[in-house]
Amino acid sequence: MTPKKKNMTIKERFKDLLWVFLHEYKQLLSNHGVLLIFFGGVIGYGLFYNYMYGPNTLQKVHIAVVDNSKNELSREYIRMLNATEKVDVVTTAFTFEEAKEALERGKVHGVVLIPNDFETNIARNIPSDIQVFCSMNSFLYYVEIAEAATFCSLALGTEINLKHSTVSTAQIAPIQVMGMPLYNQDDGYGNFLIPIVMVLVLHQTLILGIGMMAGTECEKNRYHLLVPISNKPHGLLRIVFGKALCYISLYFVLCIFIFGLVPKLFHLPYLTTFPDILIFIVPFLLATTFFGMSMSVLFKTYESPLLIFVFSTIPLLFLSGASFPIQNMPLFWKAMHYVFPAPIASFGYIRLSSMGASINQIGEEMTVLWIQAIVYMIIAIFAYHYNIRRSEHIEKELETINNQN
Amino acid sequence: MEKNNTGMLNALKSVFLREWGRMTSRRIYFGVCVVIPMFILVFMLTIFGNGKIEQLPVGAVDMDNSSTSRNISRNVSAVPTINLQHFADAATAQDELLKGKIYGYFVIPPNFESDVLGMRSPTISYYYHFVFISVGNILMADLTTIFKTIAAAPILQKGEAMGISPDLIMFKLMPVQTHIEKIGNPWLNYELYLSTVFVFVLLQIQILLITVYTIGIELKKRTAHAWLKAANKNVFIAVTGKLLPYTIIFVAEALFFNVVLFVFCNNPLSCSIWQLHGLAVLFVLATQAFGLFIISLLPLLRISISMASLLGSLGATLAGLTFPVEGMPKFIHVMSYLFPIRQFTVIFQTNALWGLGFSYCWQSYALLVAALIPPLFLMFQLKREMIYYNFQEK
Repeated sequence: MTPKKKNMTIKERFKDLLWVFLHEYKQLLSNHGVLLIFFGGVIGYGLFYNYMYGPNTLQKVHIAVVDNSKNELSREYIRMLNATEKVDVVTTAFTFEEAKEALERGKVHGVVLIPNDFETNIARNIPSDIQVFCSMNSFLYYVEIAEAATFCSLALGTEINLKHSTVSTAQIAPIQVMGMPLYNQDDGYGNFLIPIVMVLVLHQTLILGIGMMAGTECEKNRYHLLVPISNKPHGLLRIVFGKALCYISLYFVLCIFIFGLVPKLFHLPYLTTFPDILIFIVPFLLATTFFGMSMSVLFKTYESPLLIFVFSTIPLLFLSGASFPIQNMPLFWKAMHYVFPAPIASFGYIRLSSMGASINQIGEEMTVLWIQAIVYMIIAIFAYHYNIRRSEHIEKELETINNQN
Repeated sequence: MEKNNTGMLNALKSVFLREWGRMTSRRIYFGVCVVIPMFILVFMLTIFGNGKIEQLPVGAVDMDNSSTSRNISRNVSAVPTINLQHFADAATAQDELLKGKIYGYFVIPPNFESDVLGMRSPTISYYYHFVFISVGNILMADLTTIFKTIAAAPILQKGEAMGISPDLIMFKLMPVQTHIEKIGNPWLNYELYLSTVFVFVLLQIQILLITVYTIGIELKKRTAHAWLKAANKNVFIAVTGKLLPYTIIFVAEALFFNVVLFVFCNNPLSCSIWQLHGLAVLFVLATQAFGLFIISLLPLLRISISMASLLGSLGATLAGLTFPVEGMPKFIHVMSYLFPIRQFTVIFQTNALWGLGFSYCWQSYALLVAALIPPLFLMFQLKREMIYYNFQEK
């Protein structure tokens, strides 16, 4: 069968490639489990995650205020707290013990304690302490409640100064300081998480799907190997690129959906331009597809990629460094940040979309993705080469056995 | 009656041994049930370094370069969460920010020192962002604190020179002060906050997958008849005997997780470890029941294992550890209670982190126990499938 290969014209080779490409598409469209992962996973998760994190910020976190002072000033403080978007004072009727109990039972997520000497201290020019108890069950409760309380304390302080002061601190302040949030100004959790999850959804579904396709082929194939079943001989590169082309073309459309349409649909931060997104998609897709194809040779059944690979979503999310900074990770995991396409791609994409970084500014990520694309392409070619060799070997052995009989 | 009992016990034993044989005959079971859970434990224990966010790269743009401005930079660099890097101008710092090399920066304007001395009140601007939300919040809080302190220092000096007492000036600067106590994790420790629950979030995915797989593969490979036969045609025995080996493995792993996290790694624990062990047993059983429910409802392996993957991954969100489920749409909030991992998280936080008793989270315990019931209603449907599948055309 080998001599035939060498005499093929370019046209024949191209036809061959097209055959592998179309064959893979046919297999794909008849595989309901893979279709569920590809379309259910990407479109379903793409929409569902946006729905779940739609509120973006926690609003009106329930808190209790224990007002031991009970006067005009403390009531003003409570009014201010209620006026913030962040918290909602559900009761001021509790004693501290009752409030603590409500906190422990999860009825409120924070308790603000106004001391009984609140106003008298202020009248005597002594700073008054507001004590805040935050539930740490979610980091976000703490963030919202602490911010609301600090803001109100400062605002009330300014008010007090304006009313009573003979000397304004502003007049004697030689240094002014001003803090400015540059991106994701309203501290939105959805805005932070969704772009990373979207990259992960594309990455994971593509790798799972490729693995499941390979597993299915192994199950169907006589020799349990990864070669398209056909009487025609196919060159190694034509098999690898024919299959890759199938996934890349399909996922190109899904990438446009996730990176182009979803942010518009759900008003996510989108400070980048469409051409930049396209430039980013190319190495991301190549790296992920070839990584998936390299991994796929390990999977001998349809289910094995799901059994082995699904859990990795969360480790990959952490490896992106968006939730816990890469600088604080041990060296080994720092290195792993660069090994898989998802962590590096999400760290680049989120800066592209949410911070308006240019392609140059995510240049490091782009370079790594291109290197990954090339390395994984070579690994995929070798993996397929090994598989084809084995199938040829088994075929030859079977032939000799048949001849002997 | 006595004879019937021993018969049932024998059937259970034969199904158990049959499953043990199947399980040990293929490497993938070992990978899914042992290698991946152990990897998960190692990953979650090591990924956060020492558990704290510190030494965040922050840019300093000192356009004055005077002793006063250098002093300010020194003060900022003393903050433990900050690792200061110097840039010539704001544009370079901004570029580095977009490159992801620094998380924030501050700018001291030109002629700063002379403006301070000349009472022209120059402004130091500092910039941060919430694109990486935890880093952003920590940096905002720490930058705000340090710059407020820096701004207050000369006022205190000046006030003293004017004969005003420091106490009064402190009062003028901040008449109302806020003290915040963090209950449940006062150290803002990432390992305690995330790792302790996420090892179980990830274990949950493995339990769901293997439960669905081990039953589904019998249907797919048409071996369900032999399975049912080993169980004396009793579907309850068939399912119990089949899942029991996995219960033993996953419970052993969950207890091992507890011991490593709270004994070996010395994470603070406010309840007895035995209480955690009890929770772990209940959690493994409830999750297995959830998996059993999925495969009984959709007895087609290729579909149900994809469903288990999609649902298992949702567990990370619905545990409610990051964005609280109360803040999500009502539908999601309600749905979260169908997931044993949500109950696990509530109980874990109440008992282990807050040190509160059973009475504070009995509802969650009740839901975990209740999770064992729904699959019972589908047992006869599963039995039908086990028989029906054998007669399907090949």
